[in-house]
Amino acid sequence: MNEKSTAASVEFRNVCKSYADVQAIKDVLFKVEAGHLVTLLDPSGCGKTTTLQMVAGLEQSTSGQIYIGDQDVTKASVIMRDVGMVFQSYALFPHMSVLENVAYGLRE
Amino acid sequence: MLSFAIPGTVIGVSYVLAYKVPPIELTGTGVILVLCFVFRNMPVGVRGGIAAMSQLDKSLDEASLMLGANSFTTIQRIILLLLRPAIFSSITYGFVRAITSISAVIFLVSADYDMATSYIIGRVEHGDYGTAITYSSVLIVIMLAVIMLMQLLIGKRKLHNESN
Repeated sequence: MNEKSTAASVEFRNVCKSYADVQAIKDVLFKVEAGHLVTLLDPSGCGKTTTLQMVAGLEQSTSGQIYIGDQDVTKASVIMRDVGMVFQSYALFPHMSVLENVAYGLRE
Repeated sequence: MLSFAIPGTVIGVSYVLAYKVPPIELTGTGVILVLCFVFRNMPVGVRGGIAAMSQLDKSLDEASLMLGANSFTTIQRIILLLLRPAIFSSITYGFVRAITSISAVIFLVSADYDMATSYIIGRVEHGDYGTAITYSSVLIVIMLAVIMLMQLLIGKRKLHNESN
């Protein structure tokens, strides 16, 4: 692996997320080093998707800090974070061809 | 949904009474006709839109955001294109209901702003059936032409996985 990697570490510092009365995740604390492959494994409904969505910026945490590399991205928007995510349902655009789906991210 | 459920005659009389005094005097103008149609047919369009929106997977717009598109681009290139059938049916429904409406508008029309339907009723009352039938036929042709034009402009939603 001689190619220069652009991977960055992901760190959660006491991150909590609640929806109204429901506490989805509570005091999550971990650090994934750059280039490491990590699996989140837990029963259904325990907050795995919520955690990943908070990494991507699709959900905002209620409290705590999220770091990507050295940058605090807790309040950063999806576009600012530059994180890729593959959805459980694939999220392919049904009105577009395969080429258009692939090319969507390349357009301005 | 209330404006959809209330009988048209009640709506018509209500609009006349509500807008004949200041500060908003609209009785006898064309604006009151437009307002009446908009608010009377809006519940159907809104309900149709909500139903169509709830069918869309939430991850589609999330995926669009992840790929670098802003909210405006996402609405323009993903949401609106997938909502085409709902938009078309709502516009068609609203237009057909408006152009064929008689109950509410019979109170709202004036000499300057008359509608074909109330004019046709007037002709029938005078026993002038020939003119009334001619107007009705023209109304049908206009309706068909506008619906076909809207179909052409808005078009069908093309889903690539449906072609197989």
